[in-house]
Amino acid sequence: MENPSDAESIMLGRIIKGAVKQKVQTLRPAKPDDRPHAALIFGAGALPGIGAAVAQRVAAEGIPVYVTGRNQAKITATADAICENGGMAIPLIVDALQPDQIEAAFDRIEDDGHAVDLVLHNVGTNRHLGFLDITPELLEKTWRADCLSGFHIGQQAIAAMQPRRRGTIIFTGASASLRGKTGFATFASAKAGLRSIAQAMAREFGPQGIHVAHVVIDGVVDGDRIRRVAPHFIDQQGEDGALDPHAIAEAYWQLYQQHKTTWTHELDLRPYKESW
Amino acid sequence: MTEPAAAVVIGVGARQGIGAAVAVRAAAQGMQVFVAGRTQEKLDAIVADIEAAGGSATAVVTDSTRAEDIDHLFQQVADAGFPLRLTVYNTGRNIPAPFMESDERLFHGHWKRCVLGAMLSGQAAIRQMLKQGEIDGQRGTIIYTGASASLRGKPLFAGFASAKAGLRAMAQSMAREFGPQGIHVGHIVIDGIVEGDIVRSVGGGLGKLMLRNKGEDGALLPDEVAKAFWMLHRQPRSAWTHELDLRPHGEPF
Repeated sequence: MENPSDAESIMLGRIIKGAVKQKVQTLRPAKPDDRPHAALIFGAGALPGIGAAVAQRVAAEGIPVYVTGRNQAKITATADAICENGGMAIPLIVDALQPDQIEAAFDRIEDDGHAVDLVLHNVGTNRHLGFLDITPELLEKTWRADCLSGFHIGQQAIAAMQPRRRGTIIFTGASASLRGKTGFATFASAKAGLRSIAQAMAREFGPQGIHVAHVVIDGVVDGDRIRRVAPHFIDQQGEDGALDPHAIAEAYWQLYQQHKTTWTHELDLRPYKESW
Repeated sequence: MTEPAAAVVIGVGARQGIGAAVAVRAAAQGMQVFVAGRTQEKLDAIVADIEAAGGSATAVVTDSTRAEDIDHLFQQVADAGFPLRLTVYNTGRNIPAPFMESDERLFHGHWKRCVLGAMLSGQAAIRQMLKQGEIDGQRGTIIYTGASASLRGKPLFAGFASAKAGLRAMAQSMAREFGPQGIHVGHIVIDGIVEGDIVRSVGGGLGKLMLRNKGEDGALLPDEVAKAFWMLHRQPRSAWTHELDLRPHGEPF
């Protein structure tokens, strides 16, 4: 590490340079672009689930949607279901931990002659673990999957949207994004980190016409994942006690539709009887 | 607590800084203080200060992001034979970077300093504290230094804010898990410029200019910050603070 005086001079230089660049970017006019809009979903997964339901909702509006994930069978099934209903969906295998794979997805959209206008980061899994059982490896793995992936996806989404001065980037958060509960130090720390990235992006790129939003999902999602692993858990929540992915998708769609004079940067969603 | 007890302060740099001020304060209250930081000379200077004032301290050069270093540090504390009553983790550096010019290295560096180091030292402190006896139902205090970036991400600070928010969430999780066992985990949000060696040394006198612009008492004084750390440490368990913010009177927020 540099000595403080060097480090601090570099820091001040960066602040000034950064502020100037930001201003210049804000003043730069949008490049004319008449390519049709497309949506790109990271963590699309299977139906019903948040990623897949958002893909379905967007496709229902006639927007081509690129559904990505690590599991070929799941995303192919999701894309097929959308196409059967008259939508246009393209499945792409992407591991959101790999920047080159993320880049390939953005490149594919360009190659298809589409302009990406909506990007969803819906990556990460919640896991319970006592604090003393955390290993540095597990802490880093969770951080890479749930938080760093958001940086890589966010950066490439901005690069794609910046010339057109428009676009929406949505991050899926959780109640753990807002506070760390017992047994969730790794998950909450990664999710809180992701939320801060979303906030910093929202403030930096909002003035350039790019809408960055963070959605806090507080409750059990009545989706494919839980239905497979612990179906009784959903039943225990009672009628409408778990979040319906299609209802979540509707909220995401509304965020995407917001006029730029009236943007939401954080939205929470929870079932009517969830205690919080 | 009147027993002979140890305090570990990680992230000790220049004398005019939060880490050093906390170490000096703990030593003045009779604690055996282990000052941990990356630079031997800086640590030696603080130990000398503490000893000159009649206190007792040990310098341990430590990279807080390395598990071996943290193990070595806490082993020294255990070997000294005092119960560990206070651990302060005070590392992290707010390096601004435009989002599009940030890279994985920058994010990883922030994360290691803020989150990984907090986990390593938190685990080491808790393991030691769980082994030792209670005084008034309390085993010890762990305090993390936060920043306004712990609460929200601003432009140019995506990497730093992301790591600081991660640290805060981890501190909250620890507080909830170990509070019932008598371990007090606190997070202190420092919002403002610290009137310390770091800002004074900012290139070309700009730091001093920044300080002057803040006006009288416009920057946080490290010794005053240290009082708040100490206050948290002395709280009885029926009324613990888990998050405390500190800012100068004129700071907009």
